[in-house]
Amino acid sequence: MASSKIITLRSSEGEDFGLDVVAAMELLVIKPMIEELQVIKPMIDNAIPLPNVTSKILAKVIEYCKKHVETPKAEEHAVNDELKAWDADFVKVDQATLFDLILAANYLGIMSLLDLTCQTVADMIKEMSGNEICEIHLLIKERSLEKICKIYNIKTKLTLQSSDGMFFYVDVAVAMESQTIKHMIEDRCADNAIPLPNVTSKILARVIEYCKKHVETPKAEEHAVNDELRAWDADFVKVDQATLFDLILAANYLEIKSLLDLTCQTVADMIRGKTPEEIRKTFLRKHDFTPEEEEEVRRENQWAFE
Amino acid sequence: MQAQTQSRKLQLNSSMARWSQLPKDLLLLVAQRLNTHFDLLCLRSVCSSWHACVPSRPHPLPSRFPILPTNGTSWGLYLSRRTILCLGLPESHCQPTIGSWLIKVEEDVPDMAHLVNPLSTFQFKHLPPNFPKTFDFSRFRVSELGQEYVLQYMNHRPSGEADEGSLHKGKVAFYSTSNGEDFVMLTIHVSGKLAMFRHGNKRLKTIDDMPSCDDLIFFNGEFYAIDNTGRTVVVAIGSPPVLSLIADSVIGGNKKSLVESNGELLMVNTYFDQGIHGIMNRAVRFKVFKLNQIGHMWVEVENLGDRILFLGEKSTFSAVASEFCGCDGNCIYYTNSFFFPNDQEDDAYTGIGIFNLENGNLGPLSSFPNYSKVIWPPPAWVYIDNIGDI
Repeated sequence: MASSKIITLRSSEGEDFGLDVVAAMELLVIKPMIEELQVIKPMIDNAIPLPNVTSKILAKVIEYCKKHVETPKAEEHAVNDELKAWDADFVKVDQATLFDLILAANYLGIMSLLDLTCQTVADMIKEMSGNEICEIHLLIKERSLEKICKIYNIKTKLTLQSSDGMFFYVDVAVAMESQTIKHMIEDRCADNAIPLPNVTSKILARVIEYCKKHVETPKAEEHAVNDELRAWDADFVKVDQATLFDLILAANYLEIKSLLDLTCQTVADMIRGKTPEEIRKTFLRKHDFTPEEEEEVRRENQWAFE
Repeated sequence: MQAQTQSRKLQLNSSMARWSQLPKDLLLLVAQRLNTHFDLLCLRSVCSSWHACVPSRPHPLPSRFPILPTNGTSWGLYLSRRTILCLGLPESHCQPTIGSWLIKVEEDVPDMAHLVNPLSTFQFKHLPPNFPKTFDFSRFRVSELGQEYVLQYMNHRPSGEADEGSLHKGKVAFYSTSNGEDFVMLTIHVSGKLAMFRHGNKRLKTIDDMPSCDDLIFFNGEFYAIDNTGRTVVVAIGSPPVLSLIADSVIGGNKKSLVESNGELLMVNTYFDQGIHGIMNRAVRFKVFKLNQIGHMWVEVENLGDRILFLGEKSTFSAVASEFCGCDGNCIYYTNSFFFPNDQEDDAYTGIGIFNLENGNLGPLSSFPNYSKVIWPPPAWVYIDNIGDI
């Protein structure tokens, strides 16, 4: 039928947008719905809800689809060049909107838009300052875009080198749990492998494991999630005292506050309520007091009762 | 084989030696999380470098310091601080038949201390004959269970007025900053009202909004007060102090007490049985409550599990029953001015009773040897000179 049917798309805020059927077929996720609709009695009056897409983004997406449907994929370079220029303008938006477009393109199955937006981000990162790179990676982490970025070779990982020469390939968001590494990224010292001369591979592996877990777990309102993380932390510090010592030093050097708090608290808990002799047995060999110090310690500990 | 064990020993020794080289600022981060005097003392006693790094006392307040009176009379009051400790043997020497010892100490002059009954103000004047002349705390595991503050007369006690002995008989709750520069004291005035004294004040100030106050406590960084109906408030220190309601009244019961147990705030409701002439109040049963903060109410607790509550004359505290040999939890030690029939005058257990939450039985402490020996006499291991290796 020649008449152009209009599909109604509803944004997450409940706003309705009309889109020509042909243009709507660009949205792969909608395509099967439309094909079904043509068989079943038209339910064209009902809007298709898109709960993951805001009005602002939906409007842009529709704009994109319309343009691309209107412009024939011609043999002539001139037309394609014009479309390319239009695309370049289309993605001149703020970072947050760009990332929302990536998410929407992925969700709605608009492959050409996904290609366009991801390539734009990949190109942007090459030109960015260290601070901007940190911000971008936080946005990627926030919107869970690591997988997509991987496909488009958007650099989301960096290399850390331990004191004993081992290389660790980690997500930038995970590495940024360390303030020390974050500053290096900001100062653009992270383009090559970051050397960590104070941390052995054994300890670095553990620290990375800690940071990964903490980055992956959202700090939720629900106590259940936080309780689970606390339980994981409690397990994490069940190590021998030599490893615990190294973890404290590493947490301090890498400036990972939550790990430093956790390890210091663990040591305090191990010490509380024990005698000095018991503490020595756990952590040290013998005391090394000079005779004067020994006398002072004796005086502090000995009380006379009347 | 020998070479292997040798090198392993070396490895252990060298890794262990590193802890004494823990950078000062990191050691202090650990020390910050140990907030009792004895824990810090213990840390200082471990090795030379830790001794140099860790500060000696959490706060420099002396055990006794003067508080001025309200009405400008010539006599003065001072506040004395006592610490309730649970002493135990190090783990290597623990056996099922050895239990911990609960004591309360007051340090009058540096290095000279008094042993006081943990639940009353009765001082153990007659120490057993072979009680060690100097008591070495570093041999034992020391946990601080609480602090007690008592207002006492400085020198001269005015005579004649019937009531002056009870002017400040009430409980005291106290807080000071870690450097001792500022402090706040809350007490129950003879009128039953709350009274507050801050560093720099000239007199006690009564707080009118809380008449017939039964108990006070400093818990989780705040002052709590409860009246004889169970109505409980948080007292925010300021000029004027502000009271915010935390829990509504409960029905029944005669005297309310506040106690901390396992990080929670509990309330104990004491039910009295009026004596023959209605004068002597004898406790006949107790109910325990915990705080439902959202609902602003006290909710009854049926079972304390492994915990024991201690309601002393001037302080309350709690402990874990498994510390003490032969004791089960879910019970309350309490003080009652009503003397039990088999109390001896000035006995270590005078006026102290114990209540079992499970079956509701109660009786004088002297009738329960497993529970009375928690307090007195000192356990056998106190006398042994050489516990373990040095």
